[in-house]
Amino acid sequence: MSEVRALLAESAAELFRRHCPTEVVAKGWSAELWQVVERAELTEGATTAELAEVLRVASQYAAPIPLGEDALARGFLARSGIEAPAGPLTVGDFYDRRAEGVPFARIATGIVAVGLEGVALLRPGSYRVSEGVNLAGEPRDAVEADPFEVVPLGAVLRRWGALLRAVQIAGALERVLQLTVRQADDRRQFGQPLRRFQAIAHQLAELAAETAAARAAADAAAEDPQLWKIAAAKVRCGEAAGRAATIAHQVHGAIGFTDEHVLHRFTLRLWSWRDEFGTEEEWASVLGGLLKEKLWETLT
Amino acid sequence: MPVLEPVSPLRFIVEELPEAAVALRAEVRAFLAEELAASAFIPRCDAWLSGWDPTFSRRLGERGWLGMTWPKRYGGRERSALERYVVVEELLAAGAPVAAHWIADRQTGPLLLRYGTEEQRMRFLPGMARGEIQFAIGMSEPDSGSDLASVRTTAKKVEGGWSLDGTKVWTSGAHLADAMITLVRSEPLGDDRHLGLSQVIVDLHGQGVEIRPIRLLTGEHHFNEVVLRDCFVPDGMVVGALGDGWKQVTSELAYERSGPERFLSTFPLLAALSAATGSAAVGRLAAELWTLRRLSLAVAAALQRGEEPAVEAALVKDLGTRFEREVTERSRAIHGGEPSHPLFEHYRRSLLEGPGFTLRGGTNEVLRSVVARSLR
Repeated sequence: MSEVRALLAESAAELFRRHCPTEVVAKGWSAELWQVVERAELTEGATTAELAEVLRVASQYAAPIPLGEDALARGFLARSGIEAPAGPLTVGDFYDRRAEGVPFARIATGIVAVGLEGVALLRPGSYRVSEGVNLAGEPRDAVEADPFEVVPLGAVLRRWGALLRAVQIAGALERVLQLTVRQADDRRQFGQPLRRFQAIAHQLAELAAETAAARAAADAAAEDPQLWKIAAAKVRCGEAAGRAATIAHQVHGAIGFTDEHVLHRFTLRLWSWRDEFGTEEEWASVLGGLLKEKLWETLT
Repeated sequence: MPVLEPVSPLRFIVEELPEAAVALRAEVRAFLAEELAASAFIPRCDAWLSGWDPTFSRRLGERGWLGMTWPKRYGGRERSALERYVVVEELLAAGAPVAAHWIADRQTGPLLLRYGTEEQRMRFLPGMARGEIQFAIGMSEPDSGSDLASVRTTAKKVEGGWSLDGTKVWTSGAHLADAMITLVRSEPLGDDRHLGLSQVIVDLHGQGVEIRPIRLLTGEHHFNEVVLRDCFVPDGMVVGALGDGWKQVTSELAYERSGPERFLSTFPLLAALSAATGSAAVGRLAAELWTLRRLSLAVAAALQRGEEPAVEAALVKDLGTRFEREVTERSRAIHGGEPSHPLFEHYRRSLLEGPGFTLRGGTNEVLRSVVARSLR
């Protein structure tokens, strides 16, 4: 990891620590947090890898803003030569004039519609939103737009969305690991901290391994976002998300699945994000088909 | 308001492979293609432990691919650890017979460079780099497996050297190797059992050494029991400082645990599976392999920087060896355990050698405890 990225991660962590306490997370959307993040210009002129650094850290805090979607939207607009308005923008996979599960559509200042023929920027007033949410309560809205013209562009939202969610999963896992290790230190049963029990210690080790694997995969895909690497990252991060959430809840015990405990802010996101923009099975199928006889040559 | 504190994750920092690695990889592939064309070896799973072929090792030595990172005055080539990584992973992926030089090249050579005397280095390293001197490792004993500090083989001071008594087990290749780097108790057991251990080099062709085969469930002979009875080791064959054996042995572990052999033992099977199907199941395995390689490369880079990534290495080995066995299991969807299937031989070897993957070099249970202890 370059010096720049390390510094960026550090600044982002400081910002979210101060401005994204759990109370803000619970709101589901925070215009104040969005403004703070915009003013900080963390992602100004950032490379994909640098952007991923900020997005990963944002996910360690479950930041309730469409930071990644806004970045994707701007990327598509830049490639189409369309001028980008102020954010937060979001993105949607449009078939004809409809899109499902558009993140944060209800509060967005514009939606970048990515479809088979090309890309368009939709402004509020030109579309109607039916509110919906994912498992974690994050806004995932259905959008029906008025007829619109597209700029022809071969763009695949699913691919970049998969990279975004992989990176976010890696960040959320880092938080889940920290929360779970703390729980195992603080909680005492039979006269000793949970982590003294070998059965628990081994669960923690497995959680750490899943976290490290997801981070490695997400970083690698963000550094060189070829299709097969994004596929591999979404597969590995999705697998880690499921395994880690199971372990974290088991170690936390009953308190971990109450509304008051912060753990579910992360595990529910993990469970949502692993499905969004393609499940492990879907991407594994893409990856398997891409590699075939070229497995070793491609990996190296 | 509850604030979330910054996380401090495990650090795996990958460095890009050096430019020279690209050309080097092409050279190794060309060499392997020639060897295969000449039927010089048959690709096998787990060939790094069972594929003992000194002539193959010598051919690697001629090309400068053994002891690659060592100083030239000891027969090395002064290349980087990441260049060595490239050569090693290509050999493993091809299922090439690298067992004869494996221990010397990976472990004993670097140990001698770090702790050995000038005389020991001159005596062993150039021969290792030519693929002519082979080593075995004498650590485990009948009553000391994971609990290595409990070894009971003793070294008693005698005129001009030491007299060894005790038994080592699971000693891979001892019946074929020239010498064995051996962990012994050189001082009586005191309060701190990690003190008073030493490493010495035992001449396996010498007096007082009896080597008995321990056959695996395949019937194959890689393991041995090595019985030492009043076995003389000259003073000059003590490696490092007397009594520092524990420190020295544990410093080898990051080298022993993080290399590509900890996730490529079943690669020939996976490559065949991938070519045969390209299914989602293969996609999942490929994603895991890609991830493991990144983690392993990060440990190699940390070692090159002079760090001691023992925890990271333990984590990689735990994940990697479980992956190796997962490949074996997943392959059944293709061959169904049918002995006439072309993939069956790779499957058979992977399955029957499999129990060793998650035992050798530290059991996965020990590794997980190492990782868990480090977590904050």
